[in-house]
Amino acid sequence: MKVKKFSFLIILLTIGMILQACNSNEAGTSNEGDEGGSTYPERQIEVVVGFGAGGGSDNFARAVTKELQEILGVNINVINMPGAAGIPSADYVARKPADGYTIWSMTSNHPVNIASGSEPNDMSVFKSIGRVQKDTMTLQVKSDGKFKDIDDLIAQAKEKPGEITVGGTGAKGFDELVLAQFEKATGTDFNYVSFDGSGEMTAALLGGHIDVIAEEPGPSVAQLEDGSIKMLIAFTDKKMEGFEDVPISTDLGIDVTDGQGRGFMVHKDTPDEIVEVLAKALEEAKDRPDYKEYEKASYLHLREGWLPTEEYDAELEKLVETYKEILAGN
Amino acid sequence: MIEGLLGGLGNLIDPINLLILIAGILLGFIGGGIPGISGTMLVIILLPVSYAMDPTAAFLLLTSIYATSVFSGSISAILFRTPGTPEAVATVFDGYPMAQKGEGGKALGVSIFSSATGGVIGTIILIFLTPLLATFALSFSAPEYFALAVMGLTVVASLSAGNLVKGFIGVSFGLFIATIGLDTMTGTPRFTFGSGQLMSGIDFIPVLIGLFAISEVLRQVQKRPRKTGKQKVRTELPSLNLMKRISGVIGRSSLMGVFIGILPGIGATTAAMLSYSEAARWSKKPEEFGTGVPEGVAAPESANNAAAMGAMVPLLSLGIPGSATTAILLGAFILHGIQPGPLMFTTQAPLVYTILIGLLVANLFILIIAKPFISVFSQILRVPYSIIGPLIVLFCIIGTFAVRNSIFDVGVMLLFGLVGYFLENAKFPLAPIVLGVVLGPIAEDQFRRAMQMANNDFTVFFTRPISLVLLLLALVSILYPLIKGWINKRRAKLRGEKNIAS
Repeated sequence: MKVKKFSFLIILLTIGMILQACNSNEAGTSNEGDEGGSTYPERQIEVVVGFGAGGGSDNFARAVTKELQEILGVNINVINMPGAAGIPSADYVARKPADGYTIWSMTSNHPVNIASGSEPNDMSVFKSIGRVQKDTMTLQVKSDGKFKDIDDLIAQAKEKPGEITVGGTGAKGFDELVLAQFEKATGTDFNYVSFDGSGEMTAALLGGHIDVIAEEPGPSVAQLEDGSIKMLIAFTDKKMEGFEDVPISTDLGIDVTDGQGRGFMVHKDTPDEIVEVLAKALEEAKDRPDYKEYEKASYLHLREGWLPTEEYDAELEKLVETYKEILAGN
Repeated sequence: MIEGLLGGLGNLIDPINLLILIAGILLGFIGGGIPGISGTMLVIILLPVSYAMDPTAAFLLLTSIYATSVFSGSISAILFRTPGTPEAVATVFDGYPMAQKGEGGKALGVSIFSSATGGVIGTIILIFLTPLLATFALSFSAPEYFALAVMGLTVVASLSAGNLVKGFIGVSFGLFIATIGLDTMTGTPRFTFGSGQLMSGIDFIPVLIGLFAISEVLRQVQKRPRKTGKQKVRTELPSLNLMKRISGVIGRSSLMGVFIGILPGIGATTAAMLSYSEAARWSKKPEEFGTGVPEGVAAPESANNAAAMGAMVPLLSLGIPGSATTAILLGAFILHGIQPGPLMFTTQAPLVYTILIGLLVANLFILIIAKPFISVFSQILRVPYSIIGPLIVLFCIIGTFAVRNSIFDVGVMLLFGLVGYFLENAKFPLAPIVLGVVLGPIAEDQFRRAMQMANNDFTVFFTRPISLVLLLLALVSILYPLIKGWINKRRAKLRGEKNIAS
């Protein structure tokens, strides 16, 4: 019997040690970027996505890495770390060696998180390889619903402030901030309802449970194509190919053109040679036919998305400031 | 439609497609059978492989894995108390006690039979009623989801193994765990103590694996070591008598599973949990649930397979995923250049019908190949526990890690292993905790979303017919035992008075 008690104790101890190990892995911040760029990449690369498999951000990462694999000639694994608007995934990448073998697939939620103060890994931690996509935010309603056009929506919103429900994904996230910009520009006030994912939200719109959704064209493209959902406004300064009838914000004098950006980032200390290799590969990947086809199918081709390293970093700095202002005003 | 189905069958008979379908079925079996590898994970792993295939072959592979892995998760749930996939967690409640009573083979048989029946019923509904059901699903929104979760939570009494107070403590503990992390409505951190890891909350999978699998390993190592495995498990499909006994449960749970599966954002795990609770609630002997009754295996197993098929309904008809795995399938469709949605049945008819027929075949295959597969699998039981035990722990660690690629989750899992061990030593029922962890996020999020939608007007839950009915049902089921007790007392009293009078 003694032996059994002993072995049980050992197991308890082992569990304790593993638990301890789980806690102490925070010490592993390493900044050594000692590998030269000339041989990079020589082993497999990890691309970390802060959202679940199957969503817009995951599709983006998978479509790009499919091309990158061929260009760089190494295996690339896409890893999903869903939760908390991507913050844990940023944290993971920030703790990895700055050697270009761990890439963060980021979205516009990153500047939003920094602005709201929930993201400790701010602009000083990452360096962008480039922005690949700039999605178009739109307001969509049921085609047979109560809103004729965008003027009608604004008029009704002014009549009944705070009553018209607008669905978006996430709380204090990108969707809510674009809506806030729209509210400010038009002097309206909507009732924002946050959803976990665009599927549930589109279903709520179709079922008539909410009035409007703030959404890109991609996730609801099936309903846009069969005509059950229509777009009232697109926040862009260029007419949308395939949706020429949809009014764009700048034509209406509404200066909101913010769109969900998606791109790749690495640790700030990554050697420039490696960033260059990746940037060149990324630029090539986004022009490949398979990737183009995916962009077109999800209506991501409506706007030029490509922004190289320095420009995207500058753009993100600017966005953080803008979002801080909006959040402070709320 | 019939032509479409026949065309689909024709596509399926194509040797390459058939080969891929069978490969998918086998992969699903193996993946689901190994604790830690869920169907969702397998589909993600095989996603890049599928790019190289043509869409028909690709989706036959992915969907057949999805269909069969939901079943085979029950094998290790029954034999080792380790749910092979999250969907099989409710199967543990009665499956493992059955195995301990020496009825492991019977439990596996019930699981095979119920899974296949549930899957086939689900697929048939999917084939014939998809447009109708999609419309029905749209009438559900936040208030209805909340009412459904409340209904599930009220069953705690039947899951408390006779100790209501402990049951309530358990369910509250589960609900508490579910509140940890960023508040989904306002983004406020709750109980995170500044930890970045806790911000994304405690996932329910590590909690479940810890509570059941790890705690059981701890208990087993304290027992007298056996030289060889304890028993030979021979799978026996249910006898006619038993089939009759569980057919009602299977029928009800399958239908319930399909309906819950259709609702976007609520998956097969919740469906299995809810139909287990409902089976216990409406049973004549609810107190026997949790002690190893075949109904307790039949209900979740038929429901999870049916729900897996139900989740395909909104995916195919609206382009809206009904669960985590169908969300990945949606991504796969898009990366293959196909947009699921209302137009898919016309623009991609051959593909859709081939997938549907493939799902039907995959579910039928559960009946055919499960038995030989399990007989190979259960050879593991002959291996001494000193080898199996560490392997189970190893797989639990790998599986937990793989869910979110988080080492923190592994810590959570091991911690809950200890929690489960000590709670059970204190005769604490674990099922209510699971109920709280699984239903808590649904109840909270949907309640607050409903309030947001209604501008904080409470009456929204009572002015919408479906939500009102569900909440009334919940109320009745709480009051029913009280009323029944009161009536019985009255009767006894009346009888007593009569006796005196005569």
